[in-house]
Amino acid sequence: MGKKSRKNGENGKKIGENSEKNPEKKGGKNGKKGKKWRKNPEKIGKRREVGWAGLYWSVLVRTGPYWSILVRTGPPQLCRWLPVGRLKYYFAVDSVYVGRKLRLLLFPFRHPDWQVRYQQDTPVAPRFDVNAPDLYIPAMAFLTYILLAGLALGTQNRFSPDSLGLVASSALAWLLLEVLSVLLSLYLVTVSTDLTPIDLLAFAGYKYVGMIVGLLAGLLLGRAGYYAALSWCCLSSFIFTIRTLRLKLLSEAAAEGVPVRGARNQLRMYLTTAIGAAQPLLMYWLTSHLLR
Amino acid sequence: MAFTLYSLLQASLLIVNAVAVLHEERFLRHVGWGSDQGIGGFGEEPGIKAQLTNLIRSIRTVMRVPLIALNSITIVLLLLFG
Repeated sequence: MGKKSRKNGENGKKIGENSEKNPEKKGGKNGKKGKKWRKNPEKIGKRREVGWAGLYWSVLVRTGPYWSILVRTGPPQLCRWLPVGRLKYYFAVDSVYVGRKLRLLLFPFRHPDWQVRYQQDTPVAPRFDVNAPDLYIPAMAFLTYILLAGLALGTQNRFSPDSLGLVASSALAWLLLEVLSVLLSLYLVTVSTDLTPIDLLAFAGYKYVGMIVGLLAGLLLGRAGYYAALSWCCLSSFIFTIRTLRLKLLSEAAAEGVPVRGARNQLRMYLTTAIGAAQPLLMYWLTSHLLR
Repeated sequence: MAFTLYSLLQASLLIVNAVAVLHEERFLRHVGWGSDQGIGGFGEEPGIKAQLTNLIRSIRTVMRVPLIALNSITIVLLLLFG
C-alpha cells in the first residue's frame, strides 16, 4: 500500500509513447492538456465537433491548470485515504476513452476483459485503458444529473432555486453515504485490496450516467419510457459493478469464475453482490421523486 | 427529499457519540464484545465480530477528545441559531 502515497516525482513518469510528445513536461505544471493544445493546434478544430461532450471537455481543459496547482500545493501527506498525487490520473482522459467508457457503462455484456492494466505497479492512466476508473465521467454525470433534475422540476412547475440546491445536496449526501458504507464493509470483511476511496467514489459516480438516461427517457417518453430505460440502466449498472469489483475483491481463483468454497470467499461474494445491488436501488430512489 | 449533507453530519455526530458512550467494563464485557475477549489467534484473519470490537475500541480511543470539542461547538451553535 505504500506505493499509493508516493509523491509527484515518481508518479510524474510518463508512459512510453507519450514522453516524446511532451519532453519538457515537469510534474504537470501547466496541465498535460495545456501543452497538448499548444502543440497540436489542428486538433482544436476536431475536438470542437464533439458537441456537448466538447463543451464539458473545454470547461475541464480551461480549469486544468488549477487542478494541478491544487494537487501540487496540497498538504504533503494528507493520509493514505486521499492519494492527492494520483488525483490527476483520474482526470487524464480523452474523448475516445469517454466514448468507450460510456458505451461500456450502458452495455457491459459483451466486454471480454475487465482487468485493469498496470505499468510498473501503478495502474495505467484511464486514457490508455478503458477499464481504469476515472473521475471525469462521474463528475460530469453528477452535474448533468443536477441540471436535468432542475429541468424535470421545471417542466412540472415544481421548481425553485432552493429545490435545486436540495437535490444537489441530497445526491452528494447519498454518494458520501454509499462510499463510507462500502469502506466500512470492506474494513469489516478484511479484504486486502488496492481500491482507494477515490476509486470507490468513481464507481459510485458511474451510476449517474444511467440515471441521466432514465431521466431523459422519462422526460421525453413519459412513465413507460422512464421505467424501460431505467430497468435497462439498472441491469447494466449492476453487471458493470459486479464485473469490475469481482476482480478487485475476490481472490484470484474465484475471480476467474471457478467456484471456491470457504466462508471467506462466500462473504466477499455477498459483499460484491450487495454493492452491486445497491446501485439499482439508489438509481431508482434518486430519480423517481423527480418524475412524479 | 429531505436527506441533505447537514442531516448526514448530524447523524454521524450522533452515531459517533453513541459509540463513545459504550462503556468497556460495565457493558461491553457482559455482552461479549470486550476488547480482550476472544481476539486471540495470530494466524488467520479476524472475523467480523473481532473487527467490530476493534473498531469500537479505536473509535472510543481516538474520538474522545475531538468529540468534546465537536459537541461543545454544536451545542453553542444550536443555542445561537436554533
